Amino acid sequence: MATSFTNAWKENVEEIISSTIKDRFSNSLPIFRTPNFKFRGNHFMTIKGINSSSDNSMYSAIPNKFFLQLDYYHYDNKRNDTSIKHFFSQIGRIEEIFYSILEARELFNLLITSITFEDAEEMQGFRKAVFNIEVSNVR
Amino acid sequence: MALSVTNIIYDKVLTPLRDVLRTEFKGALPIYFDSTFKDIGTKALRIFPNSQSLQDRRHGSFLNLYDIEMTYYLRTNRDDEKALDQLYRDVTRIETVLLDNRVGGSDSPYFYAGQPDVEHDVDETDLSNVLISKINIPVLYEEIHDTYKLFSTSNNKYFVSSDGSFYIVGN
Repeated sequence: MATSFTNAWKENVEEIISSTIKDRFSNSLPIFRTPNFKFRGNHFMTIKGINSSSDNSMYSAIPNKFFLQLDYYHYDNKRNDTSIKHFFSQIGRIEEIFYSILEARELFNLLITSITFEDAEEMQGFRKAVFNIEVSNVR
Repeated sequence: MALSVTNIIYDKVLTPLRDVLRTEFKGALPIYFDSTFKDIGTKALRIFPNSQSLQDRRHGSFLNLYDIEMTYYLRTNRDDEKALDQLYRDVTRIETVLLDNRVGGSDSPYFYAGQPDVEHDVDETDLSNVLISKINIPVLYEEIHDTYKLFSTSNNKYFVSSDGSFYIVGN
């Protein structure tokens, strides 16, 4: 008989994060899980797993710590005070969703270890915030 | 209940820093938030965060360190000591104002994790006749956030509470 297993990265981590963010943004913020990046729409996120490590081995349970990177892209053609305020408002909203809502779900010890802000010519007018995330889950 | 969201970077970090500098310079130094240079006059100060990093996580709050970069631009056709003197004078004045306001008020309880660092003669734009200095300041801010709890019913439907208020979020 084939081994019964859970696709932990997809079902226990990435889908929980992406569905929660989508829900809190009323589906106005698309989140993509794809190995091939491309610019899409006026704002969107990509989510990708970096690595995982085992917290400890327990009988019939696998506790893991997952490290992920979420990239938030925000098209800003106005480049004024209002558009910058809106960009940081979205960052704050995502941060609050992580700490307030996601910790009430199946994930725990959820940390946004850092956020880096990027803006370069090759970004085609998009501002980018790179979230480095750490979450734990037991399956 | 809607999730309460604070625009920490803009409202609690960048704006208070800009306001103390605007009060000091009284319009003589245009200050703006952006990640790139804007040609808006003889001199200007650009403020933008490079990054933030988590310093501490407690139940119901998180403490972040914000690496804020201020870039001072001085357009000048002079190629002598006087141009440098003006650059040094303004940058030192900015640095002093920041030191004098290292702790925010009750509306914005930020405080510095260290003193400002200054770097002169920065090469950032393709423009000629522009002198540039950078001032980096590490700012700490702790945000208290909403907390929710998960209750799973026997049929795996979820109920979420926040401070005693119960409602269904759907499943």
